[in-house]
Amino acid sequence: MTGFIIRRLIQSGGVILTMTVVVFLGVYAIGNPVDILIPDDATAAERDLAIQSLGLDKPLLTQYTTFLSNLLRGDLGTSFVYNIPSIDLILLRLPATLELAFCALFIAIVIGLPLGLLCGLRPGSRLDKTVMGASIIGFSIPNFWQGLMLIMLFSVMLGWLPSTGRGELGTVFGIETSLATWDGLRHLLLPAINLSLYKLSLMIRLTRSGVREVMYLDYVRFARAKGLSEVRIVMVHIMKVVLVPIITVVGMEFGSLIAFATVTETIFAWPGMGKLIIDSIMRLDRPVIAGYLVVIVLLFVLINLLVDIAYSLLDPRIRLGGEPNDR
Amino acid sequence: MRKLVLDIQNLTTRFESAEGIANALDSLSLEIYEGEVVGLVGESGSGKSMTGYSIMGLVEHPGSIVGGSIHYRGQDLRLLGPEQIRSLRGDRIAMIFQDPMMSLNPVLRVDTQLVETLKAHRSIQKKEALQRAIELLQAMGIPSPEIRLRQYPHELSGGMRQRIAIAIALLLEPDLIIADEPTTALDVTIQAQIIHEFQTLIEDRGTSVLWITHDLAVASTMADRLAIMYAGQIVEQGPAEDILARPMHPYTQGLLRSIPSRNIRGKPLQQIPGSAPSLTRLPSGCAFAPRCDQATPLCELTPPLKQITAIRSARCHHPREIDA
Repeated sequence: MTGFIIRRLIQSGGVILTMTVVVFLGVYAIGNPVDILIPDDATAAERDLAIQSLGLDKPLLTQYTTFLSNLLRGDLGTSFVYNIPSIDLILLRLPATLELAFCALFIAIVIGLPLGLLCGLRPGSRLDKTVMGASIIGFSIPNFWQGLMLIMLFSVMLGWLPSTGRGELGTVFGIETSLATWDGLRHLLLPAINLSLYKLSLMIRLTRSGVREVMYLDYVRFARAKGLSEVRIVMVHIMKVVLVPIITVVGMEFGSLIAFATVTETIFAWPGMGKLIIDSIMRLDRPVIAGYLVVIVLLFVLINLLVDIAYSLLDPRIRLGGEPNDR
Repeated sequence: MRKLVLDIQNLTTRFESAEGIANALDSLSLEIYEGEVVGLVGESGSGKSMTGYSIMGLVEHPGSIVGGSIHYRGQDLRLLGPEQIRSLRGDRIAMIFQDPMMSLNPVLRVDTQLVETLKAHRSIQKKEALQRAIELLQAMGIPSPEIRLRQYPHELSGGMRQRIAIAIALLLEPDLIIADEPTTALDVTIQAQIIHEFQTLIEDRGTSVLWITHDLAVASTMADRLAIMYAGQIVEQGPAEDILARPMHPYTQGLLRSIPSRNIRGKPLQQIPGSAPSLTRLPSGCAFAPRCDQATPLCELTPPLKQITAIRSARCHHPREIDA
């Protein structure tokens, strides 16, 4: 187990290093921020001064090594626009995004798992057909359009929920969160639903197909032959097997929830990282873009590592590795 | 007078699919007495396993029992509710499956799978349940059972897993065990060991067994009585040694002729011509007639079950005793 974790950590290091090269080239080789940052009527001298102070006059390789060594010290550069360290700016916005992503994931799991289970146990039933049909819609509707429709229905036509912003924040265990206040919850609901619908559909389908696959296997029949209660058969013998692939997908999808929150945050003016990155791209605020990408990749790597560990805890066949000793 | 444990009368289990209706069991009648081992022998697809599932109430959609009765100690199992059936399963009637690689849950430890069985039927402390499990694993010839209990199925060999499955079936000292080809997937040496251990355990307890197999040789070492199945029906029934010595149904005769050890060296192995018919397209009359070398025009009519002696019966128009 320890060896496994160490191996994964080394691999993760490689992934991160590769990512810095890609991020640096992608971000620093495209566009010129000076054009945007200084007024059109600035003199050539003012222009050169700006380029110099931003370090844009140095060779690309020097810029990269500076970027990398700063990165190792936790310094992702100072935002051209806000003039504060970009990492601070990102970390300031991170909680709002995490909150949104966690809520979306929570909705997807709490509704998706039981629905998928019920559909899997009763294939072809009316519930199954309805839910399967609905999940195709959840899969196919573009995220942004679905968000606009939610706003139109619940904010504009029904007037039940606010359409933008994060609302009032409360403090729980020293963490500021919308979940602590009624106003915050009302603001959170629509964006969370918007972000979760795709994952919800995925979760339903994944659980359903897992249950369908496992429920006809011999060991489930054997569990029935042992006279176990239906609850134990479904919750232990079927679910524990079905959960193994689900955990993996949930982990991977959580990363993408954080990354895809961009669209939802833009539609609902949710003050998270996603909104920040869109604004920063518009203004070519390179340090923030680079910082955002670094943070996202780190989160992805961390989540995948946790998933691998959870996976091996759940499935003993992976934990021990090696071949089963037959006969 | 020995008591009946299981009394199946005219049991019909039907599968309905797009290809048509298939009677996996076609008015099957079979009695099992206390302490008796009945061998149910037939080719793949003859309905042997379905007989076991029907008794256990484990026939799955799109199949269902459409007729007949299954009496366990005078109680008709078909009239019981799901909860009553569940409490009988694993407790009074247990079942062992063919493939030991698939019958234990891969993500649950061996002890969990043993203890949960006891807990489903008795209010028992975990410690006591474990003690009981250890004793049985030992009796099934498993060395250092305490270590095995803490392992997962994939860490154990096929023979070990089948021993555990058998121990699970024996845990609650059932009256009847349905053993669905439990040794087919194992090496011959392991097979012999397991049969021996199993035999000792059921003899001590006076457990009745329905031993399902396609292997007449195995059936003959185990069974007191044999029932030969073909296309969902029992075509011949009687004491094991009588049937093996003097089979009456042409199908049984064919089966016996196709056992390699009974053939003469250097001569080609005799087989039954053709293959088992599809259950959705059974010939009218005797289902075996198209493959039978003794068929006559009379065989186009459904043969009745003929009681030939007090203890032997055959479903054939022309039953003949042939020294095998």
